[in-house]
Amino acid sequence: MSDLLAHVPHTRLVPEGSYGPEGKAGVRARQVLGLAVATLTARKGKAADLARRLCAAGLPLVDAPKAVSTMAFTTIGTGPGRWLILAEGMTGTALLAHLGSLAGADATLTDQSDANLIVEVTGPDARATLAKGVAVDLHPSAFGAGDAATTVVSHVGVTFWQSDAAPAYRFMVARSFAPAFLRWLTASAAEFGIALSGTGRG
Amino acid sequence: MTRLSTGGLIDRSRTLSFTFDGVAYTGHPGDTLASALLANGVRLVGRSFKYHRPRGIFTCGSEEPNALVELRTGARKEPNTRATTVELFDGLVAQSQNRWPSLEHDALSVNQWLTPFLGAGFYYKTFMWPASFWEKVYEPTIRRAAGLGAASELVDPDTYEKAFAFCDVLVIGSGATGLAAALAAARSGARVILADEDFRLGGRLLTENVAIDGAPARDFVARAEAELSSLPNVRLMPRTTVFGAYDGSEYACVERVSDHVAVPAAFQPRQRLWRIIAKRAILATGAFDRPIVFPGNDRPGVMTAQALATYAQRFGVGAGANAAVFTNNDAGVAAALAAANAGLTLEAVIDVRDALPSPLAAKAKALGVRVITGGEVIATKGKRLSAITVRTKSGTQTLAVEALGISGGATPNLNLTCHLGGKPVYREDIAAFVPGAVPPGMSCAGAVAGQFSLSDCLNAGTEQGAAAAADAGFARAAAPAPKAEETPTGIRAFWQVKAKGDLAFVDLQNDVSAKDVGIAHKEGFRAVELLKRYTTMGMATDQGKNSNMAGLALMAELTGQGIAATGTTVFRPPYTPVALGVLAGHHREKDFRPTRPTPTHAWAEGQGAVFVETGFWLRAAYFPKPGEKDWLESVNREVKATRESVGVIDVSTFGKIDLQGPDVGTFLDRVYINMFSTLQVGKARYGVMLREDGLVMDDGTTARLADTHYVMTTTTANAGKVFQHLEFCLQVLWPELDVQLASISEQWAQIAVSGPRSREVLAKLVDGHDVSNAGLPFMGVAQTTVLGGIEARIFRLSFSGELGYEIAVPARQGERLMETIMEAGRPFGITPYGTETLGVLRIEKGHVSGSELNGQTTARDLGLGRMASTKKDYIGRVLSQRPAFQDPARPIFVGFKPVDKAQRLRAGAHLLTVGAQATTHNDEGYVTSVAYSPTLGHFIGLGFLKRGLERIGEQVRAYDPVRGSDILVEVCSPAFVDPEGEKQRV
Repeated sequence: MSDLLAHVPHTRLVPEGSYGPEGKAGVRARQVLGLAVATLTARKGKAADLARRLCAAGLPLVDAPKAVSTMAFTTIGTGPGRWLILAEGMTGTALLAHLGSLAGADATLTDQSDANLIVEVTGPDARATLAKGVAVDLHPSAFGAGDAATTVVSHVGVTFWQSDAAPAYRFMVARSFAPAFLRWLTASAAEFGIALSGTGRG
Repeated sequence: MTRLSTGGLIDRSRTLSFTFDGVAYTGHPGDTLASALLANGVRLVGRSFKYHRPRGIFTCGSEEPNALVELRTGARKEPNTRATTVELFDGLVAQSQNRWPSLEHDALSVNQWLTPFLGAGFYYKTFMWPASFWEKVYEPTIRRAAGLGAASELVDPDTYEKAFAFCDVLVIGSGATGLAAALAAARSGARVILADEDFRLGGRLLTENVAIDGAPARDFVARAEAELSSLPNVRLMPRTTVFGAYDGSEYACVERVSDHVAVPAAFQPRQRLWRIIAKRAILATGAFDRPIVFPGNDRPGVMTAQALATYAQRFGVGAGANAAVFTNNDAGVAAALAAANAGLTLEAVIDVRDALPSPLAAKAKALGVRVITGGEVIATKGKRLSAITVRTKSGTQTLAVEALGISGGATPNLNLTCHLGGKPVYREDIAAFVPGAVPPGMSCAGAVAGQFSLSDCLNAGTEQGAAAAADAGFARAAAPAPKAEETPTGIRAFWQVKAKGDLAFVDLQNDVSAKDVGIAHKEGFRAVELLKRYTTMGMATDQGKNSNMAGLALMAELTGQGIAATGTTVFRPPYTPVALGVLAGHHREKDFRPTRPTPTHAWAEGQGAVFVETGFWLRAAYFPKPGEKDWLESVNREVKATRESVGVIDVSTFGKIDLQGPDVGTFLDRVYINMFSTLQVGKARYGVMLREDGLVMDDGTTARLADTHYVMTTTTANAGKVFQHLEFCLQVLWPELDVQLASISEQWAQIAVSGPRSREVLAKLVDGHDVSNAGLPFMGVAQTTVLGGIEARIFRLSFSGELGYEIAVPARQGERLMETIMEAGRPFGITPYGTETLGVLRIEKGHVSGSELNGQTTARDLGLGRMASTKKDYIGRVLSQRPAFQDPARPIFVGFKPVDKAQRLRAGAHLLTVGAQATTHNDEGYVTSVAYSPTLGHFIGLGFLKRGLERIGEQVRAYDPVRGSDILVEVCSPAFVDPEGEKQRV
């Protein structure tokens, strides 16, 4: 058994730092902080109306596994008529109020700002690392910037999306599963070297 | 030394050291352990499974039946490793198996003289009486005698991992066909993966003296590999065995990342499990050279003709000082000539046919090779082969040879075509089974499809590769197939030499001889699947890759029904053995599954909590204080403090589901047995939901936050299951309902404060909200803020039976809330408690939990029958009315206390009428939960008893043979503490 993570309690986030061969960082991962998150679900039969109305208000909703970003918001399709809405520099309460004013009676909103951790994974070996747990074809011909998927990685449910062509991927992981997710990510990226940040000093 | 003077794809400039059975040898990079052993003249490498007969290296691939060794030492020791697939590395240590005291002098080799008694079915017939001996005497003895190798029993020091790959075309096998297919597919732009179990690409091309496009075949291999490596759309995967074909065009593979080094490089796994999802797959796995059955065909030095040629051509090794080849087909003759070409001294080619095709005869003549046509090998000699006896029409003769290559024809390596149910089809013209129906998306090319000629292989590979790429949406590349000469493929079906003498083996690995097939036939085990089980033919690591064909041909001859009608046994994954470690990958030890910490985990650690796994969650079990001698003392203190003052526990692990929409009330009425549409806003209600079969699925409280907004709690264990159930109901059963669900289990931290002083604690937390009995009554809900502006939901609920509140705040505020509660409760001696005390409190109160909601109990059994509404329909209603569920004698929920208060009650104990015999027939119920009640000063229990409610006050026997306890208990109400529920309403 590798002692790579032997010193890290299974209940804590893998602490920030470098893991793997000295001086190599084929993968960079960081916790993205400061995002408010809400689920937005269309009321029965209102998905199309809702998407139209919010698009007109500058909040693009695509009823598909896509991530669309504007200056302030990112919307991610997680199921028919269901989206995650992410907003920077805003509290969950404020995000709900804003979305509520746009959606009116066409949607149901739930604050999820405390429910998840968001981890960004990037670097030249990001794809090779993610292939060790993500059962989605991440080849550029199959999955590009703006594509999203809700799936399971290493027994942990995630929603993830490619945020740019670099490539950079963002994974949203339920808070109590985040230690397990980071253990898998760190172990999988170790052969390439991984620089992990934003997860505290352990 | 039998290393030939030149040739071989080995690096003679470098030397690798290794040991076998403690003796030091050397080899070269490019060698396998098998080729290096042969190069050192080591021909005896193991003892056979049953008779302990001396055995040698029989093949050059993963189908090896004999040369199984223990590789490496200590924690990395691997038994039953095939020497023929082990890439030689410096410092390699290997040991032979199944011999004592030594390989040369094996005590149990006396078994071979007992052969007349050890035939097929020997165990079944011999070790029958007395029955009690089977487990204690016979089986251990037989296992010790027959066992091959021993596991290390130490923790594996290496890591393993899993990975997914996606491609347009997966090519399995990198011989002529596979290379041609990969080139054709890759040139069209398709994403191609080429996998081969060998560490070197090329397959048989590394062995054959043939020309492709006017150059030696090895040059073609090098050019193909160079081109494929240069293409960004190609991934070459040598050392990778595709071991299974599954639904969804998924192929399971093991990549041996570090098996060829002594210790994996830092941060490198030992092996990697790949799941390759391929739009199309081309099976180009070639064919095995199969043995012929004749007396003494198992002696060290006898091997397949293909192996003989491969050791000579690819490894520059003579399998003996001289050799002969015995065959019935052109490829066998070609292999002999290839070996001779490489410098092996070939004494003769013995062919059962009366003549060779003229091109082969000419080649043999040119090489000066003696050809004996119409000949059969009828006997062999030597612990290591020293001579063979050949019979022809003109008589018998003896040839002194150290190696004998045998070839009974080609058996297409079609295992993967059968993994989804395909059945091989027999072709008389080539005396071989070829693939029948293949898995969707797969096509077969080359030898596996019965196309044995090199030119046919190259053409088929090129054609199938291009076609597969076209299927995946790519334009066909224009390049033509590589050109090669026609290689002869003639064969005369021939399975067994009819001659008396030594045992004639069908299956070397399992010591199954032709005689055993005869026994199976005589005793009625004639179907191939029965033949396999009765004789063990085709079992173990090689799964009959060498033996099955001859075995079923022999049976077909005995039954007279022909080979096609006899058929093959079923090929199942894995194609070759797979280590369990690689199937586990990252998920071992504590990483076996996720560990979920609660929002207050770090705080509880700071308090010295002892934790317990509850599903994925790690929860505080209890909080020991210095000086407490055991958990019970800690738990008693926590219970008392809660009952007398105030206690606190993190209950964030409960499932929490947000339900919104105009139809939520209707929806809840249908999933719960009781009514929720009538629940007032600002109130919570306890609910029970049933499965469709009428048994209880889960319970919990659901609160109404607003007219169209409810929040449900589920038990910790069923959080996921209940959410899934609700989604199913909405998506499938009642899609017309306008209800939206969201899991909020992770969004909210929830902390329960319980005990007579809990209101005083709560009052210090809220930002001015009225928490008096009137302001926040029992089962009331407040949406407010705490700790100066933190959004909070406060539920006045009680699992303990005491005045109690559950306070929910956003998860990131959970720890702060806990610390503030502790601070606010300090004047009252607030006591944190864990799941142990939680259990004691609810058992004292008679609340049901997981032990009672065990999937076998109805609402009526749980004493909750009166909750069921008669004014509405709900899931499980109809089936909960089944007569058996209404039977008054059905065990019902009651409490128990020991008659002798000093005695301990055991959960799991069965209940019997006093004086009744302890038999299943007399069983009247069982105890589900027990606790020591510090409030009452003795053990108490909950459980189910026949007509229990009518038997309050009666004494029954709690009988627990598992834990050796048998005591009298008194039946009582399950509510041991505050039966009227007054304390929670104050």
